[in-house]
Amino acid sequence: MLTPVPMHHVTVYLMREDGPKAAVSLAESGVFDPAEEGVDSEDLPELPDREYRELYASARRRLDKSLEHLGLHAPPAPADPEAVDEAELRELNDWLGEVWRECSSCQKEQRRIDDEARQLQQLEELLGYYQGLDIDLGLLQGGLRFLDVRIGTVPSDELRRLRMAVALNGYTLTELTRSERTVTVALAGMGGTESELDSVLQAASFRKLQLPPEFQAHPEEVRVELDRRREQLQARRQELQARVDAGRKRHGEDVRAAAQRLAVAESFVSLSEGLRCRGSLSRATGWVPSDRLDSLRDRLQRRLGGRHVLQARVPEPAERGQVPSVMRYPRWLQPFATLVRNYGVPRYGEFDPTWLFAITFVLMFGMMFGDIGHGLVIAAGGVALRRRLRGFAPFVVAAGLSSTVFGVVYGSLFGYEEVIHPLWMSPLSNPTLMLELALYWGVAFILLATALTIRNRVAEGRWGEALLDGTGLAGLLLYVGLLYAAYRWVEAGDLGTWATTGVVLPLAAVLGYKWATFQAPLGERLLVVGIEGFETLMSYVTNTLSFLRVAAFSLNHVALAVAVFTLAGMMDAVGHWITVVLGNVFILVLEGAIVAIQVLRLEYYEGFSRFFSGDGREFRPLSLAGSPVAGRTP
Amino acid sequence: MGSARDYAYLQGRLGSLFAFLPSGEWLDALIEQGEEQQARVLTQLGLATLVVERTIADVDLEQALISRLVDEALRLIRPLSGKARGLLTHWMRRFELINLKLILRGKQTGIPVQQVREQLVDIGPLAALPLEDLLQADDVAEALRHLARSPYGEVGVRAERVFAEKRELFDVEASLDRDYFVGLTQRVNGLPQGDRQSLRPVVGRLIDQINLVWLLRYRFAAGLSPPYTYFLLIPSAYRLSSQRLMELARLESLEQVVAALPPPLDQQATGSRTVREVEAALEVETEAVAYHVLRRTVFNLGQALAYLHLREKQMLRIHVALKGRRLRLDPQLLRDAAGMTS
Repeated sequence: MLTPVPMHHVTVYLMREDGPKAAVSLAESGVFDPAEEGVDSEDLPELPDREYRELYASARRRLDKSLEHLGLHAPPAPADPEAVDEAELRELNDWLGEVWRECSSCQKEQRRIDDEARQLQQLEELLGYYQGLDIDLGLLQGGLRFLDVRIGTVPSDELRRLRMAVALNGYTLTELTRSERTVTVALAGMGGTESELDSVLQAASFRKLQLPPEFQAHPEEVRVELDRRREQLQARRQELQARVDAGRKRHGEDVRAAAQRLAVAESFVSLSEGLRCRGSLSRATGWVPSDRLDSLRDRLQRRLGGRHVLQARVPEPAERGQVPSVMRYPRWLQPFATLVRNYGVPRYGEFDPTWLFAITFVLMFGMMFGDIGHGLVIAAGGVALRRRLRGFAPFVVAAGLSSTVFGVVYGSLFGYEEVIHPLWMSPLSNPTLMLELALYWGVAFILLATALTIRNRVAEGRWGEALLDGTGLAGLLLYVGLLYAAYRWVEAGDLGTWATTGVVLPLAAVLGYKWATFQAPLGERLLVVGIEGFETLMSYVTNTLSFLRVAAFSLNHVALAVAVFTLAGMMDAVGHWITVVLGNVFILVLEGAIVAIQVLRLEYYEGFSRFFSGDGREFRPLSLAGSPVAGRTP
Repeated sequence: MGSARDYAYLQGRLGSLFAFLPSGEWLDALIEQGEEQQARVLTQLGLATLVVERTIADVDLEQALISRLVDEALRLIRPLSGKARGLLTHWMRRFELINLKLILRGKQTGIPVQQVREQLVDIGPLAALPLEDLLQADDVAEALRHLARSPYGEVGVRAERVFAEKRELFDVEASLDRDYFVGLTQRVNGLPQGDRQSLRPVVGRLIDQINLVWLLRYRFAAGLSPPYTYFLLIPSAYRLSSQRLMELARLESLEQVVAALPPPLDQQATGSRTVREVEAALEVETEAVAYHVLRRTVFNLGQALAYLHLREKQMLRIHVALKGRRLRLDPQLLRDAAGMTS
C-alpha cells in the first residue's frame, strides 16, 4: 500500500511463428509490460518481423482513414480472439486498400464539388460586379481579333508576382473583385505568346472563369443559369452522400470487423519492443506484478500449450530503474493519486506518498479554510456535481468536510464568528498561537519528509546519500540542531555548546560529503560546496517558515469575512444581505481556490521535492483495446 | 547592428565554436595525408566521433555531420528568443526540405516506405514535418494534404495547389524551394533594423546567388519561358532586384545574362561558361563575406547565420573528402568537387 506492488521479471521463450499468439495472450492478461530489450542483445539479436509491422502500419492508416470517411467508430477488441498471422494481415491490408480506394474516389468527388461550388460562388460574386451593366456580357469575352482577354481567379498571395510575370509577355492584369483568399482578375494583351502565358497561369493556379453560353447574355439571364448550376451541384452532393451511405452499408460491418482484427494484430506490434529472435526462436521479456504471475502462466499455457518456456525472477538491484511501478488504491483515493502522478511516478521500491498526501492535504485545507458553511457548500457541491467532477468528487467532498470540521473548531459559519461557540478558538483571537502551531506543523512535516528520504535511499542501497547528504540523516540532524539552536537563542539568549555542536557537526558531515562527491578544480569545488552547503542550511529555515502560510490563511479567512461584514454594515437591509451573499461567494471561490493551490504548493515543494524522486516508470501493460495503456492497475 | 545586451550570450557561444572553422590546409590533410593526421584534423574540426566510427556507411556519415551541425545550431538558438530564434530554426529546416522532396519522389516513383525512411536525415528537436503521415500517405496528393495540415501549412497549401494544376514534381519542388526562401526573407524583414543590417550581407548575397542560379537553370537547362522563370524566382530587393531579374529572364543565353549582371556580380561571374561555374564564383564571395561578418563584427545575429552557413559548407567538403577518399578518387578531383580550387 505504501510502496509499489512487488514485480517479477518474466522471460517467455517461444517459437517464432507463435509470436502473434503469445502477444494476444499477453495482451489479454493485461498484466504484462514489455521490457525494452537492447537491439544488440547478443544471444537473440534479431528484431521481430519488420514486414508484419509495416503491414500493420499500412493497414492501420487505411482503416483509420476509411473509418473517418464512413463515419464509423472502431469497436473494442473481441474476447478470446484468434491471433492474426502475417498472411491474414496482408489480406486485411489489401482489402482495406480496396475499401480506401473506393472511399478515396468519393473524397475526390467531394473535393471536385467543393471546388466547383467555390468557382460558382466566385462567378456569382463576379456577376454581382457586372450586375449594374445593362449589356450583353459576351462582348467582354475573348475571341477578339487582336486582343487576348482572359478573366479568372488567382490565389491572392500569387497576385503580385503574377502581375510582374505576365508583364514580360506584354499583358496587363486588372483586379476585378477580391474574396478572402482569391482575387478575380482580367488579363489583357496583344496575343501571340499564349503558350508561354499558359504555363505561368497554370503555375499561379489561375482558374479561367468558365462562362456558360448564358453568361454571354444579359446579367439577369446569367443569374438564372447560375442558380440552375447550383441546384445541380446540390443534387451531386446528395448523390455523393448516398454513395457514402451505401458504402457504409456495404462495408460497415466488415470494416468494423477489420478494426477488431487489427486491434488483435496491434498486440504483436506493441510487444515488439520487448521481443527478440534468432532463427525460429523468439524471446519476449517484460514485467508482471508478482501476484498476477500465475494467471499469466495459465493464459500462456492455454493458448500455447507446451510450446513455450516461462522464466520469472525478482528484479535485480541494478534493474530497479527499469521496473515499472504498479500502485493500487481504493477508488476514493484515485483523485489524490492523480495529483501525485501529476508530480511524478514513484520509483519501484520508493515510498508512495499518496496516502500521506491525501491525509495532509485534507488536513491543511481544513486548517486554512475552516468554516462550517463554506465547508458544507463545498462538500454539497462535490456531491451534486459528482458526474461532472468524475473521479474528483471524493477529493472535493473530503476537502469540504475537513473545512467543516475545522469550522466547528474555529466557530466560524459563513464568516460569522459569534453564531456558534468555537470548540477551540477563533484564529483571530490569538494569531501568535496560530503561527506557533503552524510552525510546529511545518517542523513535523519536514522531519517526516526527511525521514522518508532516508528510507527511500536505504531501500535503493544509496547509503552514502542516506547518511551524509543534506537531505539524509546528516541533514536531519542538522535540522534538529538548528531547531534546538533557535530554541536556545529564544529561551536563553545564547546558543551554548550543545546547540553549536548540534549544528556544526552535521553541517561538517554534509559539507564533507559534498566535497568528496563533487569532482572539479579546487576553486570551483570550494565555491560549489560552499554555496550548496549554505543552500542546504537556508532551505531548512525557509521551508519551515513557508508553513506559516497555514496559519496566515486561517487568519486571512476571518479577515476577509470581517471586510465583507464591514462593507455590508454600510448598506441598507437589502444591500446588506446582497453584500453578505456576494462576499461569501467571493471568499468561497477565490480564497478556496487560492488555498487549494497553496496546499498543493506546500505538498509539492516542501514535501515531495525532499523525498519523492517521481522519475519511476509507469506500468504500461499490453492491452487488446489498443496500444499499451498507461497507469492501468491490474 | 546588434547590441551587447541582447547577444552577449550568443557571442559567448559563438566564441566556443570559432575554432571549428580553421582557415588552414585542413582539406588537404583530409584528402591526402595519413590516418593519424586525418584523425587529428577531424578532432580539430569538432568531429572526433567520426574518428571512432571511421567505418560508418555513407548515409550515417551524412547523418553524423548533419547531427553535429544541428547540435551546434541548437547551441546558438538556445540563447535567442522570439523572431531571432525563429529565423535560425527556419534556416536549419532546409534539411527538412530535402526530406520532404525525398518522400515526394518516393511517392511518385513507388519506392518502398522503408527505403525512403532510411534516406531521411534527422534534425532532432528542430524537426516540424509530420514524417510518419507523409511516409504513410498513399500518393503525392495525400502527402501534400498532410503537409498543408502541418506547421508548414501555407507552403503545403501552395504545393498542393501546384500539384493539382500541373501534376509535375518539378513544379512542386520549385514551389517548395521558393517558399522556403521567401519565408527566410520574410523572417529577416520581420526583425528589428539592427538585426536586419547584420543579416543583409550574407542573406542578400545568398538570395542573389540562388536567384541567379535558378534563373540560369530554369531558362537554359529546363527551357522555361521568361515569364515562368521569373515567376519561380524569389522576390528580391538586394543587388538583383525584381526588376533586374525580369530583364535577365528575357535574355537568350548564359553569356548574355552574365554580361548583363550589375557590378560587381559581372566581374565575379565573368568567364563562367556553366551554371556550376557561376554558382562557384558567387559562392566564393558569399563565403568571404560570411567570414568577414563572423570575424570582424561582434554581438549580432548575422554572425550566427554566417557561422551556420560556413559550417555547413565545411561539412559538405568534409563529406566529399571522406567519401572520395573511401572511394580512392583522385585528390584533385575531390578538391574540384569540394569547390576548393582557385
